[in-house]
Amino acid sequence: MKSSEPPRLATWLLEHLALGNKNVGLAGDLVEEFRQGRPVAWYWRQVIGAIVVSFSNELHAQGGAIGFAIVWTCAAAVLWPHVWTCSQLQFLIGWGTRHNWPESLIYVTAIEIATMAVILWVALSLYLAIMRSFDLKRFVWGLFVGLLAVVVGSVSRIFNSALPHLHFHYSPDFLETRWDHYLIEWGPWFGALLLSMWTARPSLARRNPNKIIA
Amino acid sequence: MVMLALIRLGEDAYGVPISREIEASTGREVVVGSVYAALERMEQKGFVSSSLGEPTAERGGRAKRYFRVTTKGLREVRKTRQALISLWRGLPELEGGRA
Repeated sequence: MKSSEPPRLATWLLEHLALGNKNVGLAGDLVEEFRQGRPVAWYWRQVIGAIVVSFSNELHAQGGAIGFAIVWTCAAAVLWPHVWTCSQLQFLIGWGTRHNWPESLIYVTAIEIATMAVILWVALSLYLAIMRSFDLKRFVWGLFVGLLAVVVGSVSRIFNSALPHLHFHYSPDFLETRWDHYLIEWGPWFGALLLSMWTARPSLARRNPNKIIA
Repeated sequence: MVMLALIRLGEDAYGVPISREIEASTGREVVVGSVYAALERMEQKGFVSSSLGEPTAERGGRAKRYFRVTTKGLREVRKTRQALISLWRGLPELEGGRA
């Protein structure tokens, strides 16, 4: 005999993975239909369909943010060598490397993070200005989240190079001659920028307080 | 299609009857989530408004979300109908009921 309760896992997935402000109604509709005799396979198809539709909507809604992050990351990757070798930064790096290890490493990493924070700040300001959706509280929160991601990325890189058993085995030639180099170097930065932008300007789906299923 | 289903259903338009109405007209299974996605977009454009009903036990304690077509939505449906009528007109291939 068929249970009157729909599959719990499917309901959990619907509640946690389908974004959108009509979920309260959608989940109830699916339960109502299921209790009126729809099969389990139908319920699963509906849940998977709802998740796919919501993700595709989200991607469509955030297409501008992804495009902006790609363009900005490419620009940052091209300009970074010029920024990093400018005389003011080189003076600071020189001052940092005069200290003993590990202070020197900490100072140089801090300079790198601070430079990236400035680039992040400019990128986020520009994005919010283009989107005409500036809110100081959200801006600060977005900057904080992005910066946190940058710090995590930088610290992971240090650990990766400092601890031999954790070190990825990329040969220097491989890194210098392949696009993978840019992907490894700038991928985390791209993620940090995107995260920062999404936090500073949440999607329509997450902006609506009715999203949570009763 | 969703708008027409809403107009047909009147006061009782929520996810289940809307999906059934579309299923009955097309003869194909409808993903209820896609109906909601369409309704969400139309609500953002001001063509549709929605309100929450009371939670019921048969729905696992979840409320129904009722949808209604707004005046702006009705105007848009009429405009679309006119556009479709003029597009259908003068197509000899589609007249006479033969393929």
